[in-house]
Amino acid sequence: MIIYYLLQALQAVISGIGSVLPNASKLPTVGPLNLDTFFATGIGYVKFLAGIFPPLTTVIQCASIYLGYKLVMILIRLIFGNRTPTAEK
Amino acid sequence: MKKYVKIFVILVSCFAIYSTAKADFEVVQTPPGYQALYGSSTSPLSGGDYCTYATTTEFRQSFNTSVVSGANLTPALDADHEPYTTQLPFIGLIMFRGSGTSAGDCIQRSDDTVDYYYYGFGNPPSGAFTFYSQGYFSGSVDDLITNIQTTYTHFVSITSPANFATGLGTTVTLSGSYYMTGTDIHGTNDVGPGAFHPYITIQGASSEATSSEFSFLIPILHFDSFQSFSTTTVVLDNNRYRWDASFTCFNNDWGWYTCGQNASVNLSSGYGFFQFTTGSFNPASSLKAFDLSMCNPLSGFDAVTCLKNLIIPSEYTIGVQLGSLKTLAATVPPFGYLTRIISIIATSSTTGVPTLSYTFQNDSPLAGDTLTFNVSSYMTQAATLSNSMTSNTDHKNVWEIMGPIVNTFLYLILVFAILHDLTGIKLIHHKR
Repeated sequence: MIIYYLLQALQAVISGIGSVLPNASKLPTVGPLNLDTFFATGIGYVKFLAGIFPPLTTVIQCASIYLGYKLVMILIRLIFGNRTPTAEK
Repeated sequence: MKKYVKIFVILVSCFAIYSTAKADFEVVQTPPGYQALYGSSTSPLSGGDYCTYATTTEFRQSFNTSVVSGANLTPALDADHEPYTTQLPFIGLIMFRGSGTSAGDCIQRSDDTVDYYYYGFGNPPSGAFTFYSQGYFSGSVDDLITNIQTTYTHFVSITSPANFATGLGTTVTLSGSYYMTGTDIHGTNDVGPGAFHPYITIQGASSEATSSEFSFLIPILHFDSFQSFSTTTVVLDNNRYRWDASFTCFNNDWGWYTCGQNASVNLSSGYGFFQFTTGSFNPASSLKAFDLSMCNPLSGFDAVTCLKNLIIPSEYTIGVQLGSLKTLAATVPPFGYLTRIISIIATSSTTGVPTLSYTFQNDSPLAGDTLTFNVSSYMTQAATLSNSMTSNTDHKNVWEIMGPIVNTFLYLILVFAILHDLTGIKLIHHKR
């Protein structure tokens, strides 16, 4: 019951905040540039190229894994501070 | 401590790489449609007996020579009672009907006495079954199930949405399919001379105290065949809507009764269906956000249960709440923008790259001519650069041959990059 009402309260707060903020179901348009269309088209190009050039998919996967690793390391640094196991520079 | 964290990070990274690489090499096939496989040496007959009455050899011959399409079957059919598997994308139905275990009778395991078996489906009625011989290959699973398995009075399916939260006035469609035999419209005390009128009765289930009360009668006009039924109503209140379907009959002389003269038929396999307008409880299991009855000192008070109930809402309730928060967050910046970006990245649609073109200027000998380069026409059609170069032995194209090598190389680069980052190990360059 307690958690239920906490969630209800959180929902009410977010609703209140959201009522004064712009709707964010789509990316905004900045000047003449529609970011939503621009980003969707760009990702579409990348996926198309990945389809005709298979290694591109692997490259993206590797980049994602490396990015994830970096995020894990950031988390570990937050936890262990100076004791973080990284290579000596 | 540092050492263990290093080892942990390395292991996690290796696992992530392995998982990604493994997933990359797996072949995922989209089912082109269900196919059915069942043992028979004769053409299928609707509702009949499909016992083969053929020897194993004859069985195999008929399978190999006359019926099978898409003959990518494995293993080689070279021994009696060899477990059978198939490489077809989806195995359909394997059915044997009849009895006996000898080669001259139905091909059937000695310990199996049930008439039919499924393979490749969830909820097989008789458990998993290994196919020991071969048979005809045709039809669709749905057809076979409806034509063979379930020719007794029963409900085949209910297709209404379940546990669906909606608002007042929303249209609710209760639908499904059934099979009813012509003899089952009569009752066990079938002595009345009046006309018999069978119906499907849909009504709010009496077992649910807060269920809305409603009732529909759908006349049954066709027998001995599979039929669909459907009725629509409107959600009128904030209660749960739970309904059961059953077969009922009406006789002019002795009123309503449960249809059926055969005691063994499944006459009332009603289905629970839930439609409700409030999101605060789960009608499927009657779990509310909190239930103070659990804290009632007069009726089996349990301190642990009571406290747990006060603090932790039901799994369903918290799911609804978190779902509402998720929906709400998806429209509020910055989470809304993040959601949208992830949605765009996750979509499977592609956009063809534009055609590049150049028109020669007036000072060129080719003035006015236009040079175009369309990547799609070179790379995505049948006669592409990669597809036109294939191996002489296994006819693999360039990507199929080079893909694993290139991918392995890229993954190794990733491993070394992470190892270098963690340990400082790097390639040594000797200077002369």
